[in-house]
Amino acid sequence: MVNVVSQQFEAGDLCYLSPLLLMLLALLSGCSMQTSFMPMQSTLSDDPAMLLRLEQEAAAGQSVAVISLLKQSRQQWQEGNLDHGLVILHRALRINPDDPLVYYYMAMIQSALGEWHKASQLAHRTLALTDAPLLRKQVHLFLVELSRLMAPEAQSNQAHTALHAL
Amino acid sequence: MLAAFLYDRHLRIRQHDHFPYNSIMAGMKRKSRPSGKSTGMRSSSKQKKGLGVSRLSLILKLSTVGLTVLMTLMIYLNAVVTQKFEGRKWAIPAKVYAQPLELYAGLRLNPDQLQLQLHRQGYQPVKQVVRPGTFSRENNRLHIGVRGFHFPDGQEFSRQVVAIFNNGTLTALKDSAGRDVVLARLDPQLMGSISPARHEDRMLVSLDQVPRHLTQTLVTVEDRDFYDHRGLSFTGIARAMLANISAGGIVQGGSTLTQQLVKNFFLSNERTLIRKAEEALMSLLLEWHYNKNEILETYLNEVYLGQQGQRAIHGFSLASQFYFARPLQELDLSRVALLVAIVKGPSWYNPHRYPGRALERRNLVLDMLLEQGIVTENEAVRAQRMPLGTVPVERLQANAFPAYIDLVRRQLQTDYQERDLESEGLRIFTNMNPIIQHQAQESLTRKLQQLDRKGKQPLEGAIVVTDARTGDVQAVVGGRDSGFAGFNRALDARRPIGSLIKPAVYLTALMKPTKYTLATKIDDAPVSIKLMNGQLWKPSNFDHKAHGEVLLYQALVKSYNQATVRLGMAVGVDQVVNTLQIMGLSGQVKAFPSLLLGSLDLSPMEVTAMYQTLASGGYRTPLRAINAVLDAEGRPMRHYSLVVEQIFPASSMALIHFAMQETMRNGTGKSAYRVIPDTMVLAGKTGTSDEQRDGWFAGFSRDTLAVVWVGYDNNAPTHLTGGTGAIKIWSDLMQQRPLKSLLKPMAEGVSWIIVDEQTGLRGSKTGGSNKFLPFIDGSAPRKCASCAEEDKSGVVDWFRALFE
Repeated sequence: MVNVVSQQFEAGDLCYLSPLLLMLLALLSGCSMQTSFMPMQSTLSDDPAMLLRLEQEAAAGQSVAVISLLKQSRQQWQEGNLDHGLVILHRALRINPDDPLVYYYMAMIQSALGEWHKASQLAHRTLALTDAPLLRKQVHLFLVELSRLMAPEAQSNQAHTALHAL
Repeated sequence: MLAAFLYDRHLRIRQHDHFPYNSIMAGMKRKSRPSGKSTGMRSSSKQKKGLGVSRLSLILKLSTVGLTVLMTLMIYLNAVVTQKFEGRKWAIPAKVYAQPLELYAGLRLNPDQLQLQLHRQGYQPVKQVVRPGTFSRENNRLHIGVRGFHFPDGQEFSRQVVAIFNNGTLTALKDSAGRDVVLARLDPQLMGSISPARHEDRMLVSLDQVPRHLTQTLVTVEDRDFYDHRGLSFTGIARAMLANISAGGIVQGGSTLTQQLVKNFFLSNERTLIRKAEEALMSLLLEWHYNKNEILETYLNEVYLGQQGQRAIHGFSLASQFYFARPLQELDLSRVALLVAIVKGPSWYNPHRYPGRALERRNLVLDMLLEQGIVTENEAVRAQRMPLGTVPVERLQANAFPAYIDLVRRQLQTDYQERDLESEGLRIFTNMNPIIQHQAQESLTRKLQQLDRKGKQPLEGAIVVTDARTGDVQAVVGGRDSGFAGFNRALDARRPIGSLIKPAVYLTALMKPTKYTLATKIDDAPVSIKLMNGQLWKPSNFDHKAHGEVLLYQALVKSYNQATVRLGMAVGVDQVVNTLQIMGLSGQVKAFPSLLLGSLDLSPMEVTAMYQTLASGGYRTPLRAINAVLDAEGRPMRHYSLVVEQIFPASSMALIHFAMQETMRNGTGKSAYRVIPDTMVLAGKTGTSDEQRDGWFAGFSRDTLAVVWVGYDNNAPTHLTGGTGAIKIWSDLMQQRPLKSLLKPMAEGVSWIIVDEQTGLRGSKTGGSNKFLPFIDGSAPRKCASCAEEDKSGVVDWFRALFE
């Protein structure tokens, strides 16, 4: 299901679907995935083709330097060098601290590192900085995935709290 | 075997032991009784023989004892030499680096600032750029030989770039072949070290990183037989004696480099024969165990070459940074000669204090090189014509930014042991922007001089500057003498913040949109509050007037105390404390009424942490002074990643931003626009404590937040308020920055409506006292002011407001 959705995104068809449908698809896609405490390895949101497309869209009004760093960072994290990817993004942030894609990439790396709360906050920051429809859709999808991953953790925390209360 | 030998010697000595006693006794006996000639002759012969034996015996005994002592000493010294030489030789203090300057097309920077920064980093102006660490300038075009550097994200190799500027912007970045370069960065400026208790500082360098002409010069001047002797050089001593006699003074020492190293590395400065003997023995042992390269490399890192306050400069690498602000590899012949000249006496030949002596000695070193055929006559003459080339004292690469380094140290203490910071050779990469740091330092010093009153003690101040969106700490100034590592006011001067607290009071109210909006009327009438101790507290306004009913936002813009206290008491002081803590105030605060007017002691850094939340639009972003830490081998140890947390709704933030922008336009902050163009939208707040003991200003653009405090260290009253003192420093700093203007406060669920300023009701576009104000949806006034026509549209027109 994940692959199907990402292929649809590649084709650009989903751009015309209503946000409701997108949410539904995202939720459905979640059904087929196993719930896990493990960091996300490959998700709908970090589909390489989609990231490339986001970068191309962002490039229109963006500093070439930041785009170059975004690419470098993406390559690093796709090769599994998450920390290195994060360091490069901080460099990009120093050049343009308003760049929504930088925050989104940071959010994805943090989620891959298992830092879901940090990832969620960074994703919300992205939304506050962008009006670009495609990026907003991606971030919303990402947040849906993230909330699904975070849910068991929240339940586990609640259980711990309850145990302590006893 | 040694034990058997010693035992054997011991037995023999024991046998001989009887002889002296017997012979002496015999002699004495012989002296007391009469004797015949022949007997006497025999006796005399025997006596002579006995005396000879006894002398021999004594010599043997002494030799044996001496040998034993020597052997024991050798064993002991051998252990000392090998243990120290093979273990970790030095405690290396952590080195702290500034944020590297990134170069890319679109960067807002003027070429003068870039040139200044290149000078600070020891880049040498040249006619033609050939090697790293040099640059040339032709009008708005800078050609830079960028040095290579190992950054937290990897090695960057040296390269040449050409930066072309136009109108305060870097418009094009190219390589030397004219091809576009997307991004380049300078090596980061070395800010200083986390000083160890011993204050011994050094930067390690391996022999292969040392320019060949440095080792040649050093060997030529200090120990010409270095590669031939075994630790001691008698020809060297003889040569030094001759040289000194012919020069009529001491121009050359007799100690080998090995001896010098032993003296500095293992022994004290004591000048005794025993110490000299130890030095000789240890030199022999050192040469026995280690090769010449190991000894030379250790010498190059160990040698003492200067002093700055309590900080001792050791090793050629740090000395190169200290005197010339550039890496060792970039030193020319004249500078190398100067460093080698200094070895003989770092105090006596201190080039800053005694430039004449240093120059004379440097030229003597160059003469020696010529004499030995190391350099040609032309090279020597050319180098001798050069000035000393040292950087001015204020640009020394010591702790030029003590307040910032203090912050770094405190932030690191949560993750590292103090001794690790002082000894493990860590490399700390900070977020300090050297250009902003210098501008902040200069603004504080310059403006405080202007604000000082004749006959009164000099005013003090502090500044903290951050990136408004990420919380990166870009500059910290701890006092008007920014290079002085004394009381760090930015971190430690906890003073009443006065009206800087008011945005928290108003934000607490605006978070309840059903009760409070920017147009809610509040009464600025005299107020008295009964305190816990039974006393009445009657706060008054700065102008000692009451202003009657005013709109909520106006009360903040004009910083009315009475209206603020009434509002604060209505929303609850405990609620205001809660807002302060959410904003980033750490520690416990008691909810007492005078808190509403800022009777809360905070440091500029703590104020910055709170205002950061406002500046970033309701996101709490911890202030980050450190970006990354690498170990001594350049391996990443820790990266301090950005953390954001939305803690206030964007809608409430839009309202408070509006009020703070109005404070700058029409309120207590408007004097900033005397120096800052009025096209720039800024937000801020003044603060003044009782009797004007403290003046504050905290304000931000879209990209920069700066907090300024001004006052006296002894807490005496000043003649300044936040709006007449601190704001001048703030404005002076901000007008130097290529700021980004704040956007019109907007957020989802926020609408702009015309309001009649007299009544707080809906106004009309044609009315005289009407103003567009933002409202959280559903909270806007429904009724129209009697003087205004009903707005037919009945809905928000924030889009139109954009253009008005």
